[in-house]
Amino acid sequence: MAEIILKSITKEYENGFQAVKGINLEIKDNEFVILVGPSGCGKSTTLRMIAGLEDISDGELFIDGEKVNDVAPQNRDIAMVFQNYALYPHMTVYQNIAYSLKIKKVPKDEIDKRVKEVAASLGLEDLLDRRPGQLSGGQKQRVAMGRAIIRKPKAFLMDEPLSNLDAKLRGQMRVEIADLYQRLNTTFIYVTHDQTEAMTLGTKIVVMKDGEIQQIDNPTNLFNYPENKFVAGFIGTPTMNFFDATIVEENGNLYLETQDGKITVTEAKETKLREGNWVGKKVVVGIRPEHVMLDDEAHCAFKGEVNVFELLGSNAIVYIDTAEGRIVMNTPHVKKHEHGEKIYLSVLEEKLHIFDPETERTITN
Amino acid sequence: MSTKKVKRKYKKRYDKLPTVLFFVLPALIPLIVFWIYPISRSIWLSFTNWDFMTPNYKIVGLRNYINLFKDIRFYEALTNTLIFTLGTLFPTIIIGLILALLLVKNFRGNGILKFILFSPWITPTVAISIVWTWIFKVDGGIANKILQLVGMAPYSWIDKSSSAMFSVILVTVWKSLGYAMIFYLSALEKVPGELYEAGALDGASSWRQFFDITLPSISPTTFFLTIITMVNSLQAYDQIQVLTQGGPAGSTKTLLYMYYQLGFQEFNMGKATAVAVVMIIITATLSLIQFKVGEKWVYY
Amino acid sequence: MNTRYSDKRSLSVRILSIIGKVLILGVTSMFTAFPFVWMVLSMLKTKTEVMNPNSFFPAVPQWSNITKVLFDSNIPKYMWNSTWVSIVIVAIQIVTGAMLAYALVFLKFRTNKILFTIVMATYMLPVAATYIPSYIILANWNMLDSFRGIIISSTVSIFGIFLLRQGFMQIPKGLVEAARMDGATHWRALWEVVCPMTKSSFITFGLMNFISTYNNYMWPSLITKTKDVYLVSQGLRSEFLANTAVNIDWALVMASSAVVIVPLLVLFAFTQKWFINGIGGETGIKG
Repeated sequence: MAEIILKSITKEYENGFQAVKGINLEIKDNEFVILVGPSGCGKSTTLRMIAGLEDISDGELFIDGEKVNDVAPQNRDIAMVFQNYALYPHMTVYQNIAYSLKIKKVPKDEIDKRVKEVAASLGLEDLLDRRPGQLSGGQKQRVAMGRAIIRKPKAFLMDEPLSNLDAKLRGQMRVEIADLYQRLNTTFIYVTHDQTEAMTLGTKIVVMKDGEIQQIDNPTNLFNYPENKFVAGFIGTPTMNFFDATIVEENGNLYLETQDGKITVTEAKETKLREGNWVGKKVVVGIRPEHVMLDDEAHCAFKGEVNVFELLGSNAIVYIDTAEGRIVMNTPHVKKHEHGEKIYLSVLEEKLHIFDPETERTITN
Repeated sequence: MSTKKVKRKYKKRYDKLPTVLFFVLPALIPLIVFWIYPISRSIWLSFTNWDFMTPNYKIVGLRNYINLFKDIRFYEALTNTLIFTLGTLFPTIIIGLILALLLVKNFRGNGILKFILFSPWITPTVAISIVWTWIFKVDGGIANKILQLVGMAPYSWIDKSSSAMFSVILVTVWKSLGYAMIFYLSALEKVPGELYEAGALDGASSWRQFFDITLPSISPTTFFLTIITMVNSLQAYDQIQVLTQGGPAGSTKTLLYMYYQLGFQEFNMGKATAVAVVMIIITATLSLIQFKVGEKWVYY
Repeated sequence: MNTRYSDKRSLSVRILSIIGKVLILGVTSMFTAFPFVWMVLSMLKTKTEVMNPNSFFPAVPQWSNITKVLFDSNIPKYMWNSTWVSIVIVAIQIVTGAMLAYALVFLKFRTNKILFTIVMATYMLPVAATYIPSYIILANWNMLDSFRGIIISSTVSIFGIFLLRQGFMQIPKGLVEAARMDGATHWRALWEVVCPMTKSSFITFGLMNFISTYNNYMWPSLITKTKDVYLVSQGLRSEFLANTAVNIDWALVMASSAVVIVPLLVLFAFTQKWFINGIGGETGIKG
């Protein structure tokens, strides 16, 4: 139960490299926040600064209104689940879970009661006498969570907790974590590089890149209204298609002109483009694979040849080589396209994202 | 945000000073008082004429060193040290390697043999040197009795200057064999088995295998052992003190023993510390070679 | 025919190599064990018997030689001195060594690397070079000729710091961080998480340093003059010298040596693997 505020938090290493560049973030009480981004984006460093495991080079960190920059990790009342679980190999599951309470000098019978409660809630009752070496990955994961839960901390920090599990278990644990959050009703901060994980778990997602926050939003908005090209490309699988186009005006209407054809610009987008003085200029256009569809030669935006056809069951992913580069289409029509087959594509105009080619910021979504 | 502001807070990048001091000082203070300060003090004293009894002393510059380098006994000690070092080094390493090669494969009785061969290393040198004194006794000692049984002439062992060094070396080799063996054993266990299999497929005979595969694979160990044995030989004292006290006629007086006599018997502190400095230089050189070459070997 | 011939040869080569192997191992282990055997045989002889090289075995074992050493000599006292002084010294060395090794591996501070270099450099120097100034320091502190002096001048083991550092580096940093998140201070993390995980390094450290302190001769003999504070090596030597002054009784001298050596051999028999670890395994170079 804590409100965590990061005020222009910076992490700079001895060699001058800035891993985190003055980020601002407010995490409300009981919020489930996900930090997501490619490796090296500073998400783990940010989490570790909140935990107190990394020193803060500059900026201020507040937990429940108290500045904690200089508070040692053991005094922040925050629990953390580590990527490789970090269970104490010489202690039993029971001792692992109980360790923090033992340090707090909680009476023995109280510890016993709470360990049993936590173990029951995680299905660990039968494993209490085992050592971590005798547990499976999923079980270790549960012990690591148990160790965090038992303290009833102000906040849970999770550093890529599922990355060491296989795909099936990962899906299962994801549900369990979501469930845990519902039950505990505490602040969660969760770090992952996997955008799918972020999208399915999060209520509030913080996308990071190169030590800077790119966008803070809920999953729907991130998907539909990315604030820049990076977020647009990072969120969603298969990733968004990008191509270059020029804004042209004909008969008072705006079009996106590609090498193979023209795409009509919707009214809402037209206003934004005119406001920004983009008529006649080059832009970067993004379109998600699910918004690309087959068309005929006369109306198409792209002509291309099929390179790879992947059938996924209810839908198919088609990789098409066009004059604008590789375009990926995610289509519900599962008719097989042969390699080398010529096809014509158009796009859903209202789903286009248009970016400034210089700053890569979104002009209009 | 200005870079200046970041700079000012650099301190916080590290763990808190009291914590660091709490962890470091309990070892660092004794290290300074009984290692670092004495070493530098020794170097300082080697430029003085201090005699330990009187509180006053003068700085005499290089005189101690000049005297030392003019002193024939210094060269005798240096030669003795060299003979002792090399005389210990080669048998220890060669026999140690042979034993390790024979013992690396498990067989019945392997454990007990290792135990026997390694046991001299943990026995107090003084105690076992007393036993050796008794064994070496010229008349009535068992060593000469054994020589007599195999039809050889009795030997003078530690009684004569011609044979004393050999006897001291024998005891030292006896004591350090097991150490070299254990070292080689763990090195041999680390030689990847595939190397041997590849060698066998190539039709390498066991001699070829030894020279082409085993010996190069354990060369870092040989090198390390060489340095360690040399450094240890330079500091050998206990067996010399018990067996010969540097005698007869200075024939087993090594640099360390000379240092002991100059410092703690003659109280010629200036000259004694000059010998200490010579020892420091030799050891440091050996260690540096070990460090540099070892680095290359570990990371190549 | 050809294959049979080569088979035969390899068999004879094999037999020869086995004979050679047995011979080498037999001779070296006899050479190694002989001083111990001879010590035990000699200590059971009478004073005249021991001087006669023709009597290999004692006619009647003189067990009284041993009881004399155990009850009428200072040897047991020296052994007791060595034992408790070594235990105290090693206990202190373990604490100071573990703390410094923990700092080197798990704490972040600016002089971390410099500190390690200093420790490393110290390891390379001959300890004897420190003896004269260290002697003067103890003299100034009025600690010559006392257990306090012996103990206080040996509170750090550089070898031990290396050994523990090597062990600590195998521990994932995350474990210490997890302990910190669980509310442990660095001090607790060291003793409750790091130490139990590197138990074998600690045991090796303890045993090796116990033996070397127990056996230590040169330094303690330089700073002690009274028999009350002799450690076992110096005590044994002083008994030996006192004995040589008069008509030497070698049987008794051997009994004294045996009383000193045999307990160590027994200790070693049970703890061999830790010594082998300490020499070959954990401290050894990667090669």
